[in-house]
Amino acid sequence: MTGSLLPLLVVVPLMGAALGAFVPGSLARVLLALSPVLTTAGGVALLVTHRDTPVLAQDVGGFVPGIAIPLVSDTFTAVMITVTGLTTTACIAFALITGEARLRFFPSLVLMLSAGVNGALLTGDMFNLFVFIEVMLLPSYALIAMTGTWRRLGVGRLFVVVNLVTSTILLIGVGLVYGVAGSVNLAVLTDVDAEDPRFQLAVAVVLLALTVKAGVVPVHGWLPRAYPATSATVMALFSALHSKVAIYAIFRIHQTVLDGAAGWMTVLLALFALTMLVGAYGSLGERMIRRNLAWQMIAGVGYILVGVGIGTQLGLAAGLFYMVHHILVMGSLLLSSGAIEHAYRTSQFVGLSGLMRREPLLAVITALGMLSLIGFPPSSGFFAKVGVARAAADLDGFQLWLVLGAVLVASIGSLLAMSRLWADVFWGPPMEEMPSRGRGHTEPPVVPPDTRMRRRTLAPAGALLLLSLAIFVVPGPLWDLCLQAAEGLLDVTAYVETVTAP
Amino acid sequence: MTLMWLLAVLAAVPVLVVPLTRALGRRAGWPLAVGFLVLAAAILPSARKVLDGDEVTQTVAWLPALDINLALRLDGLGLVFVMIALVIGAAVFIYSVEYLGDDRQLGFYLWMTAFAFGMVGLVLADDLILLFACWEVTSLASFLLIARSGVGAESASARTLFMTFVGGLTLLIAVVMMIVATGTTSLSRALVSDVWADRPGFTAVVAVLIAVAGFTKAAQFPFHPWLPDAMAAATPVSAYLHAAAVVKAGIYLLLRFSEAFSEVLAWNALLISVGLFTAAMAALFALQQHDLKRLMAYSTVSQLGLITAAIGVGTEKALTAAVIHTIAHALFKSGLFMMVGVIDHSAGTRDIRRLPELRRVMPWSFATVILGTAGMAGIPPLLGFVSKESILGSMLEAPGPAWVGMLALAAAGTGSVLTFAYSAKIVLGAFVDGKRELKDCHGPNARLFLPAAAPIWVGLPLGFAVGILDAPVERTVQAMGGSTAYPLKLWHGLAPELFVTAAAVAAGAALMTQRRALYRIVEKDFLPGTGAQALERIFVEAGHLGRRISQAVAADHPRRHVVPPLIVLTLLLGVGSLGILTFGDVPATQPDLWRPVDVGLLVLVALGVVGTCLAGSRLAATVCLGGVGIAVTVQLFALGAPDVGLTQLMVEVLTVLVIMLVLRALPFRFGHSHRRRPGGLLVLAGGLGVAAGLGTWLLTGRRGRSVPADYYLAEGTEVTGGDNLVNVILVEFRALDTLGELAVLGMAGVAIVAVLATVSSRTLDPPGRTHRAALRPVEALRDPQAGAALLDPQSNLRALQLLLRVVVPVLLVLSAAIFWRGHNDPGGGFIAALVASAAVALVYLSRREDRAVGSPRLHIALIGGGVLIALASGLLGYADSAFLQPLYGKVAGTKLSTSLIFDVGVYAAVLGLVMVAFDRLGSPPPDPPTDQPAVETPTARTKEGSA
Amino acid sequence: MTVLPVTVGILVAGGVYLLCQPGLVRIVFGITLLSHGANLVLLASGVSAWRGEPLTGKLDPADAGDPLPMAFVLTAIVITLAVTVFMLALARIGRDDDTRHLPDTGEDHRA
Repeated sequence: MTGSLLPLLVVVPLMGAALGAFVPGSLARVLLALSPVLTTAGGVALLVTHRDTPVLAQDVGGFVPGIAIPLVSDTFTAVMITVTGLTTTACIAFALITGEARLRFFPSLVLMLSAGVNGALLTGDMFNLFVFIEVMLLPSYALIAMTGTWRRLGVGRLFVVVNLVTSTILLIGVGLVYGVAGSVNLAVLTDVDAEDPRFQLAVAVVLLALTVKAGVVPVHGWLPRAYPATSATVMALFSALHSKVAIYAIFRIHQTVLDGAAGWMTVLLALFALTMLVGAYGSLGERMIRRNLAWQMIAGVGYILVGVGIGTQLGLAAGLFYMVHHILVMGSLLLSSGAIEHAYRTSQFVGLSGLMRREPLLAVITALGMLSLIGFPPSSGFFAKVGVARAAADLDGFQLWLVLGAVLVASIGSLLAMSRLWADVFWGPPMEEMPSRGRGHTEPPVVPPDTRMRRRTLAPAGALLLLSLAIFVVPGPLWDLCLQAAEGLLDVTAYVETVTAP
Repeated sequence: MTLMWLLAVLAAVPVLVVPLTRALGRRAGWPLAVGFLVLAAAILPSARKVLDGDEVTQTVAWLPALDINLALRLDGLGLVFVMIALVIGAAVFIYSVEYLGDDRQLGFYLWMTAFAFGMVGLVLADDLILLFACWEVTSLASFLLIARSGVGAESASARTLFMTFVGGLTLLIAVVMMIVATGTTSLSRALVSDVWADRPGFTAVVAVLIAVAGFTKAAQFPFHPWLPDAMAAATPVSAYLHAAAVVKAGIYLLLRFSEAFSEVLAWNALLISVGLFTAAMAALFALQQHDLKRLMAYSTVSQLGLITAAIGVGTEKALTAAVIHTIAHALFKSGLFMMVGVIDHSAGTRDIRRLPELRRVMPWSFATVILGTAGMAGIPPLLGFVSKESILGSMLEAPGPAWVGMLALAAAGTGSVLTFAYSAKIVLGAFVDGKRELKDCHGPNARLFLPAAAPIWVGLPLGFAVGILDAPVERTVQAMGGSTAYPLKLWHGLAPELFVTAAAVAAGAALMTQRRALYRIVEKDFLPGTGAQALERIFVEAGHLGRRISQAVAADHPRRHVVPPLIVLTLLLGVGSLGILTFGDVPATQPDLWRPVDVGLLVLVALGVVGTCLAGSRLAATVCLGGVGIAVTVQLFALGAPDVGLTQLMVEVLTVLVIMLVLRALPFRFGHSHRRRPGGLLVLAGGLGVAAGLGTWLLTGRRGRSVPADYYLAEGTEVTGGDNLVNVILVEFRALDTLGELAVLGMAGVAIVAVLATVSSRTLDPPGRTHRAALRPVEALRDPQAGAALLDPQSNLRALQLLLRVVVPVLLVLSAAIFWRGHNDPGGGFIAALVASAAVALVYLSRREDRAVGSPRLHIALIGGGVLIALASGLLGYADSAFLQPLYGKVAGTKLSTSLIFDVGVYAAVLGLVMVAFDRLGSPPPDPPTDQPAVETPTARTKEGSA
Repeated sequence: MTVLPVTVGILVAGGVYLLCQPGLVRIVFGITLLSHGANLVLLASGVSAWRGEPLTGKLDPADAGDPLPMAFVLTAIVITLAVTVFMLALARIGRDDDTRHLPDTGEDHRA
């Protein structure tokens, strides 16, 4: 793959979105199914390319480097494009299976979302990043408000407002960066003295906006409220795309522009450790599967970003590895939950019971997913947890105990949360004999006794889970990719040279 | 057979179990037992090597980047535990065939075999991470085995998992710290590292972490409660759990690491004290039980306590003793557990109080149990006696002053007294005492009895011929860093431990003669609650914590979620700026950054903002907002950005129009604002305002012209042939931004249609609130004529309709002109489209009924088409080299570029969105309330207001 | 000494105040003010000392303002327009834009 093809990763889905708006629904759904496959293929192609060429760059419009907007891809980008592409494929497959994709303009909106994702992952320009984040957000506003329960509409307002304010903060940040440094091109910004406090402050505003989008404590509150209100498909998409793109940008900007400002290390580690803990235990307060999982998403964000906090190659690699693992497993769990909702019309604990004997296949998939989330073998979660712990062990003194302690306590929280979920939903009496635990309007919909879920609704979740298991058996390749990506983040010379080369 | 194969086969067995159980049902136990024995035989060659003094290793890379390998290593210690796991496993399988219910039993065999796999993997692992992985596998397997034994066992299994999981985490932390400190992932190399000698503090920490991990699995205080909990599982499970698997995993870990830590005082102290305390405590608990199975469970805890203490002592003698006792315990405890099952089958109960004098119907069982319990109580001439003796003896070697050893011995002695007592209680309770007559009891059947009895009987010859264990035990001790093992003999001469044992037996016997009285004293709860209850309490507390965390953000109104980021931003910008201003050196600002006009505009903006904030009616607020918009527009012009100014102006007009469309569907006045903490809000608003101002002042206007700026001013026109730099940046230099932006713009239209299509707004309508609000304007009309005029839009619109005949064409021409000149003068696709939109808006407003211009299909087509056109013009760029690269050509003397096509796309998309907006928001609200005029009137007002 | 930062501050303050009010329309107004502020920050970042219109041939480049932030602002304005329209559409759903009282769907299990 060559640099000049990079724009196609944006153009193809965007074209699909535009066409999807006015072609007949069936055709639109074909486009919908096609695009993420192409994206994934592109990602794989990039991975292959990056084995010998570390960085690909393309100055859009062929203008002078430093002036034109560069689209850049290195191993990190390629990994992200591939994984997000895979997960998007699974989510779309699920939407097609459950018929959710028949909603008017659903294909068009999802395609635009993935176009925005690819753009945000590829761009090497801060303002352009802002634009692509908007490209991601706008369809998301619609998606969150058009699928799921009635609450979605109110929550749609919440989601829009929070993200809009965040985007404005991002915009202000970009403005301040330009005000200080006179450029918004990441490669050019590497020349700026990262120790200059004014520059740090400006970039910090940008990073703040990104942490809000990622859901870092203390600016996390909106996420576990907003996400679960929409449909499982959309939530799975968001968890794989929105949060992770924000995290990607944090990795990228923090490392490239601030070259990992070590001065704030302890503060960052403390924040991310807190994020792990709050996320892990927040789950215990929820009585719905997907709300429970939403908090685990936040915990995951903590684990991933600790990698940035540690800042070593191992740390960054561990963070990336955890991110890949988390995208896959969270996707699998959310889609399983979606399958449950599709068959039993509720994801509330009060409405579900004894699914283990009723739906063995679902039970196996979900159980393995949960084990992976907690970090048990045989799953990607095991190496993800080991990796973070191993990287943290390189720290010393207070920081060491801060992170390792947080991992310990947070893991316990996740275990409790998952076993609570398991006990309430999968154990217990069969639903027919279940005493009605509902209160007033919370009375769950009555399911006819012969209700069973259709196997194929479990296929997407199962596929993602198999990936997680495969990563456990053969962790080497992925880990090497993560190390390579981390190397690229630490030593940006190749990145800068390729982007600024005339 | 190589170790790797052994492990591979064991990993494959659980998979085979599925078809096996489908074919044979519970009889799958036979082939499995045979398989395990074959495996045990298969590693004899390796075992032989080990006994000859060298060790068998094998390594396959797993995660090279982290130096994690599938490294296996068989030494004396490993050999002992592998044999225990396989042989006892085989016995348990044979037993299970008869014991289990007559159904498939998939779960049982599946998890039991997985369990064996984890156990063998654990003891063979020579890689720290692999060790941890297998550790987790055993935790999981025990959880699953307990969980499958019925609804009652589920909570128990959860508690077990929790305990063992905590241990796993401490192990993980210890392991990663070890890897970093010793620089190797190899267990054997890490154990002999110099680090342990060089860094005592660090060593102590790791030692404690490892000890805790071991305690959780070996059920040492305070982690013991899960083991009695595990009684919920079926008897064969318990037999395996207690004798060969989980608990032995804990013991193995402690033994394995004693090589590194036997000299570490923290390690000695912790293991000895916890071990002995657990031994005594659990022995007492055991004496309290009447359920034979629970009694056995506590006895296990107690026995493990002794072993732990011996490991804590850490001398060669002590370690020898620990190993021997591990073997002995594996034999008699597995046997005793299965015997309990036998009794249960025969008498239909395990409760001592309800058991008759079974010795009459089952003499052999009687003898066997006596033998087993004798071993447990350490009575000669059994293996249990030898091991118990040596443990007692080793206590004297405890580090520190002599009295420590004496104390330890005394404690162990006390334990032995109780041990004798509960052992006797088992025998007497099950076989001797009891009034219930025997009619419904039958003797055991052989297939159940033999596998149960076998391990116990083995203990008898071993007692005499204990010497044959010398070789393996010596290797074992050497594997733990010892040089030679302490020679095992049945008769040690008149050593102190012998007297202790004698005393213990005597005291125990004395106690049991008075057992009625004794039971009356002990068979009541000493403690307020059980360990299980304590754990449940922890879970509940965690739940409360979780609820607090989630409730802290459990609000759906945006304010709750917008405030935190704003606060953080305030602190960041405010504190940051102040800090830099005070401590950092800040470059000077450029001269004359401001013009007088700025001040005037500042005042206008301020007034407008205040007005917008304070206005009570939506209309007034809208007007003020418009005012601010105009002031900002002028400011933009004043900053020399005419395009931006024009765009802002048009956007302002459009926004106001759309707001009006929406307002008519909304209550006339705003709802009441949150008055709960207005102070806080004002502080936040003010604070962020100041912070933003400070930040802007500090971070802008303090540098020369930027490199891009110079480039654009110098080369921009050169490169693109356009004079209007802003426009050429938009459509050429940064066309990618514009592409994204027009996608956003266009899709906003699609999004609106999509969302409104899924909504039936009644469901969202809190009943009885909107009507009242909407009615208010009509009430407000005192003058009936005015009311009539308002209610008859037709007459209001005449003037406008006449006007349009002229205005619309003019606007369209104007739009075209602006579009054309965009490249060289202020203008371009956006502004042109916005002008055209104004025409659309006017046409819409002039209509009597709410109908937008053009059909919905047209709108969407415009949007999609616009985006496509822009993309297509971008793809044209590939004709030269790059995406979005403009191609230039001369038309009628003026230099043109494909970016003009791009601009057409922009134009179409903008127009599309505007049309959608008027179409969707302009049409009357879905399912209007019964009183039409209430809704109609504000419509009319709106049209006046904006026309 | 300069004035723009003050204007920015006022706009932001007003925006924050309105953001925290109930009712989506006011929130929209708040965001509008906020983005006015952001736009001025962007323009200020181009150094407001040079205010000549960046039209080649119209006047000497020495005095011309920095066109790049202007392009940024233009893009930002249009994006804000799009999102604002969408939010107004949301506000219109259900003929009341109160953001505090959401339809109860029984998903809240408040302890």
